[in-house]
Amino acid sequence: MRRCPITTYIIRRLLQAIPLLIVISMVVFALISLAPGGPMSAFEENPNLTAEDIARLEEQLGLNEPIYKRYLKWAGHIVQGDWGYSNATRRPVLTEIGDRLPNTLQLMITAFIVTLLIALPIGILSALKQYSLFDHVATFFAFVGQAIPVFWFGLILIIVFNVWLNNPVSPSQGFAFSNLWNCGDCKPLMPGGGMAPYGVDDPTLGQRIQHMILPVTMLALYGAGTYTRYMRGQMLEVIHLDYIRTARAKGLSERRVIVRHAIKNAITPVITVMALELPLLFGGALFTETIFSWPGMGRLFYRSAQRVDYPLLMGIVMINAVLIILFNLIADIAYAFLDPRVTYD
Amino acid sequence: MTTTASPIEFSESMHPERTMRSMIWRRFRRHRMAVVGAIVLGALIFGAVSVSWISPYDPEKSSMRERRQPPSLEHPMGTDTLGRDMLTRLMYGGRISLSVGLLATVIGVTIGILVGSTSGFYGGTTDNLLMRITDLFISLPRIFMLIIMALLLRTVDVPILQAYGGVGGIVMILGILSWTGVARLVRGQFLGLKEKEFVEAARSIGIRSPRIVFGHILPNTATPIIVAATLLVAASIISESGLSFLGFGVQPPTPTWGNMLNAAQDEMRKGNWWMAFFPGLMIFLTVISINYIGDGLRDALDPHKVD
Repeated sequence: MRRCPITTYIIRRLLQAIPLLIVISMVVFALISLAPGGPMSAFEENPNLTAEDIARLEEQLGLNEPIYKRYLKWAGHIVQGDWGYSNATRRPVLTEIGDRLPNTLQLMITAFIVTLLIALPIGILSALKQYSLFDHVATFFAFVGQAIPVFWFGLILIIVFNVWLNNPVSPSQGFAFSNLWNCGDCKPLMPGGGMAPYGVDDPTLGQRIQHMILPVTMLALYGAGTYTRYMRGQMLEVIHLDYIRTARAKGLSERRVIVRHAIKNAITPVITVMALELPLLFGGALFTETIFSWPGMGRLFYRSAQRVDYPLLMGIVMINAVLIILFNLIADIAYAFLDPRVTYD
Repeated sequence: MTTTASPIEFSESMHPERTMRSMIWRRFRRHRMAVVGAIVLGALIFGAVSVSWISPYDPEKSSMRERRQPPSLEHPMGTDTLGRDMLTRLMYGGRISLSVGLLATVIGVTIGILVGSTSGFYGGTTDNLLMRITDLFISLPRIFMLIIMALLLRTVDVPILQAYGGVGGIVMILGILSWTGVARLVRGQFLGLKEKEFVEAARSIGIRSPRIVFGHILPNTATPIIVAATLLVAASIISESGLSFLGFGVQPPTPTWGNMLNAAQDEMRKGNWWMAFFPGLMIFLTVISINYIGDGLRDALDPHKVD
């Protein structure tokens, strides 16, 4: 029987991911154990408890067992879906994260699509018209986009679109273009934070989109610069290859050469790398959600860090590590599918 | 042999002054943005070094009468919520931000070179183990780990880590989390270079392994390391300012560009734009300058480029 190489490849990659996850969980656990303010801190501050009480509690909670035993116990709970409770809210860690994850994914996926729509066409055009004015301008902006600190960019977006510019439709005078910058009773052009207007529980689609514009712009900035440059580089590499010359030589139209032969091959590694680096957006989301009060995982992490809420912090890190490994795997497999030159050994 | 001039001798006789160094410099100069970057970065460094002589203002003394002033002739970048001159504080902040970037890179590159060269030179089990550790560090979510380690650091009672708002500690954790790229790079270079004849020659005349690694192979990997290190400085500066922006990095009153942005967050929503604009501008100028310099170095140091 012929073994399907891609299935074996996937299985092997999955098996390789397991030890990595175990080691990461060990690092995570070691950090929890190092941290002061562990589960006993609440009791230690309680004046009604004597030293014996605390010792008995430690015994009950298993805190004086050796660290490897505690790790195994903890890992057992993690596998069974018991991730502990937030020190601050006393709600289960998985519930807290589960509440926020969809909001973060909504932001990240939209930003990912926006990045694709900006980076791929500009990168391709830039390469096709190498050294043209368009190429120079695009490359410059890509460089700028890579160098702007995202958090600063977010603050600038707020001051320009929330503080300085108004919605040109004034309640008293109606629409006037000058209302944009000079208007007494206008609303800001863009909301400055949150997922919906204040006090609105069930926002309309328009309101949702409005609240997403600035955060998504902020989150898409870095990737747009990086991947524009990457796309341009890949495209330049491909259009100088022999098979493109062959395609031209056998009389294909230029359009067909570019679209069917060049772009198709140049775009594969770019999309793979983007998918691979998608989890990096969680890091970006940390800043975006903090600046725009977006109720997602990034903001949850920020708040938990302020409250030194370790169970929640560790839960979020674990989820992130799992996602990074998962995305790595998906990207590798996608690459193997898309590029017939990849061998699976 | 003396009658046929080789192409190298020929070009040398045409340009007798063309040494390796002058060639690199010539190529670097041709990258216009890299030169601009070097000048801007030079100006920022000059400002940071000389601020205590050239600025009439104290970076920490507050002045209630001069609070929240927009940019003016006396205060070219305005004043902050305590009436302190923004430009002065930014230049002092530059001292911290720039040195954090540089020192974290030194740590990161040192660890990276040690791990990468050991891995690439010895290969086998050592290589496997070290590369798995590298994989582990790569899969740690960076900014999240930085924050957790910064929180842990606050509880560590070591003076050198806690001085000046915890600069030492921040340098350390940035370094610890930033060596993986250099390690992989160096390993890759070593794998290729250790099979070369000059290594065999060195070994055959009895030179010991450490000397072969550091004296013979490592110098040949300098080019990509220099470029990677340059870019790492910029990345470290962004990381430090991001961490300080969130309030987990260097603590006030020690000014850094990041924690000045943090303090400006609420002010900016009131329309006091200069408090957020200028610190971010400094970070941006530094990072884009360094990135362009890195780009220029990559072109200038490329041995395959002939001109």
